[in-house]
Amino acid sequence: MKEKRNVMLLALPCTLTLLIAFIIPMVYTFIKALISDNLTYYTKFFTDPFYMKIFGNTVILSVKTTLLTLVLGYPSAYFIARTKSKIKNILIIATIFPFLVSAVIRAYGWMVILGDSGILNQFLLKLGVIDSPTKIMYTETAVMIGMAQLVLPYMILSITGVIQNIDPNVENAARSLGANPVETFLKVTFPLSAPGVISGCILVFTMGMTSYITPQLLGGAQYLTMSTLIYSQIKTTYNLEFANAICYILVFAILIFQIVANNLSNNVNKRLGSGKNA
Amino acid sequence: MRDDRVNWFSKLVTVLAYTFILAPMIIIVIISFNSGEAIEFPPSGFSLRWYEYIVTGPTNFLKGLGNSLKVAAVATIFDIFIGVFASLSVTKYNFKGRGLLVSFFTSPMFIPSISFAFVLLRTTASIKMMTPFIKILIGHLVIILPYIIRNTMSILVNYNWTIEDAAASLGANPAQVFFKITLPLIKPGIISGAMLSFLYSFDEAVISSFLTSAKFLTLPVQIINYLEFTFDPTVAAISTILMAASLIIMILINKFVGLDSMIN
Amino acid sequence: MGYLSIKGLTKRYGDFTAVENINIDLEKGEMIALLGGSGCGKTTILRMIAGFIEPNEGTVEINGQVMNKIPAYKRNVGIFFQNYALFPHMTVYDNIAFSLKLKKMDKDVIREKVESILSLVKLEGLSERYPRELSGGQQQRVALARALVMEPNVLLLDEPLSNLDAKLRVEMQVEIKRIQRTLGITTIIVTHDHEEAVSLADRIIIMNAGHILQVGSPKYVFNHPKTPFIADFMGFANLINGTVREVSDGKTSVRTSKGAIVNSTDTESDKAAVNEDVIFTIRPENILVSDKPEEGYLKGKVLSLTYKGNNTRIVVEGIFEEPLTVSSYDYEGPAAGEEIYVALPESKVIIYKK
Repeated sequence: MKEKRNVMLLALPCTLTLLIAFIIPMVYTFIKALISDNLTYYTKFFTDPFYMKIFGNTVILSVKTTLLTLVLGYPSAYFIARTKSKIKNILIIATIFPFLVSAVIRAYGWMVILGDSGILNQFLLKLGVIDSPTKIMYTETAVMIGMAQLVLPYMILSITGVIQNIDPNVENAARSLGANPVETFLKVTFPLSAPGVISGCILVFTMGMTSYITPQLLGGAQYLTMSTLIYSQIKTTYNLEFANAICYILVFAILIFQIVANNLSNNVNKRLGSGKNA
Repeated sequence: MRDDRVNWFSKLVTVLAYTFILAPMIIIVIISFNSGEAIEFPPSGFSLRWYEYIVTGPTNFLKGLGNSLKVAAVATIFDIFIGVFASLSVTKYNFKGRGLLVSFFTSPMFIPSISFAFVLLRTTASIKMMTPFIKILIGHLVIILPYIIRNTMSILVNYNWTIEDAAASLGANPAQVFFKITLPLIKPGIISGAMLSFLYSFDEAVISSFLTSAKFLTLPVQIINYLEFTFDPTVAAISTILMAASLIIMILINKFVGLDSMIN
Repeated sequence: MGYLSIKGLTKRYGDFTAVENINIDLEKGEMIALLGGSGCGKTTILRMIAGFIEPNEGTVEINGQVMNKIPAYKRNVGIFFQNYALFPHMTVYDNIAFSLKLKKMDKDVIREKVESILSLVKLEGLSERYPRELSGGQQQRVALARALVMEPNVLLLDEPLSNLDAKLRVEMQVEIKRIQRTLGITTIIVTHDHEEAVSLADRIIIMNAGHILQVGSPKYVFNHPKTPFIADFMGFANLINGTVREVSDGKTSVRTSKGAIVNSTDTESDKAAVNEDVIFTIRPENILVSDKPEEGYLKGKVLSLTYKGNNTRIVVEGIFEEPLTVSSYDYEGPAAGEEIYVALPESKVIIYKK
């Protein structure tokens, strides 16, 4: 049929590009390594406590980053969504602008602040709080701060969008029915904003697990995450086969997480949807 | 004006959050004008010496800038073509497996860049014709494609398709419908999407740092390499220029489509 | 053979049949209304005539030429869309001139044609506005002008008045009729509003579930709906069950379950035999009311009164099993709960076999 032909013609260039440049290399590399090495390197990863600890650290780092951005992001998103003042537009610009600034530059900003001779240490030394520079760079703290700043705008936008769509009269209704502000928030506003919170958390956690530039610049070789581990396997130990295994472990970990998390969020959305009709 | 919905707590956290987001970028701008030798805060004086040093220093940042622009421009233009067609195929027509096709088009989003960078590094290593430029280009056009497609789809989903029927009934053939009606109406959204994708590619450093070579460095990779050995305000000066450029692009996008559309 | 001839038109989507074996003939300059509820297939027919969708079976012929293989942009069929589908990035002038520019007409000719059509739809002076700067009624006129300016062989109007408020609707009905008469364009109008169909069209086609139920002049269909379903759709409101008591020289007498007798002399009614169960109907405005007993009047009780300007809708109970809806002009009769007397004129009562 004519329609089928049109769809195929339109979709063809994109499909070919993705197959040749993306799908085939990803699948080919995976299968080739599987055939030549069996599961040797995967087993190595999962049986060596050193690597498992890095995996665990990355998960913990991502969870901490997610919580930190949620704590900072939710009230900010609520403020942006509900304020009637003109500052709203400025805040939206301030939220979007960081998206247009390279992760390299944003990590560099933290290097300037957190470095041994950085602004924070200069300041603390001047105040006399410390005698010698504190080491913040190349620790989990530095990476977490950098990651949180990198992903906070995603969290804010994700939640702002949902809160903006909650009719303020729903909150007014709760108030008129006798709920105090805290009860109104806990029983009405927060549950209704759950879809935005969940999608924000999924995004932020995923970025925490997979980001490379921020942990590379702020954690270096001293604080490794999954992605900087891959880099160190290539550049310092030249163990390409092992790096390959870690790459695919990361791919599958993220895919499984996304599938599970999206199922969860679909369930929440469905419940909210049916709640509206009832 | 008292607004009891927005209480002191959310105001306080908002101030904290935006200080946290903006402070590093503001500090970069301030120290880029430092007249002293090293990074000092507050700066010891005002000068443009670090801006001069971008050009006069030992690292040829201009070449990296040229490389980054080249990669970003080619990747964006290529993706706009295939991306707009692909988006049309899944928004204009309703067919079985449409959702699956959308997932396929946006699949690079769900794979960590680092893993894809490594795979590209391995698979292109043995191919002779693969210069670093081509390798980085391939990587970039794959990872920005989902964003172009998602952006174009969001425009087309809200597009009133009966307008095309109206044009056809008035005697416009399919090509005329596309060029006189559809394209002018979706152009602003596509241009703003293209600018964002261009920036994404221009700023991208994961794929670039894996596939780069001494002969072909992009600007973000040059900055990373520079930071490994030198920690003076030169990078702050470069960063300030790049942030100014981003600001201009943001203003342009706001003119074209409004910032609201960027929230997605 | 009409100017626009539709033969055996059928469209299926998978297992669902949108329209089946539709046959319609239009004379040149005729205006016909496709009347039916949503999902009855009327818009599908319109889209097949315009060439946006292909029929599975059947043909569309315009002036003797089969259109099936001709793409929409070569058919010269003007279509007016329910949501107007104006080009938002073009001024009123450019919207209207669109088809003329495609034909590469001379600039002066285009200007002349656009200006004359603008004055026809009474939009002079708005040519440099953008659609979003116009009111709903003005946008609607632009959409009409845009379809008319290309001098289409056939004009299709898809629910042209549904987005307008009541006052504007009456105004535009008159306008559309005037313009269609002036230009003599063969026109099909799709609508779900029977009053619109009756006031605009030369002929009405009533559709349901992809089939044509009745074709006829507005006056005929208005007064002689072929089935109870059509009667209900045409605003008859009263569908009452009864049994035939007596049939004699053109007069049928029906007894209802509560004993009331109703006579019909309508010659187009179904011919039912004695003791056969039937349904009869009468328009609310044809029923006579009185506040005191009169010859041939039936006694009931006012259940409710609804004032609609000069018209009053009175629901009467106690005469038949079903409540009876009466519409009365300048009503000043009994109030709710009081007794009322009504008469059903014999010539206005239509009888259907079950």
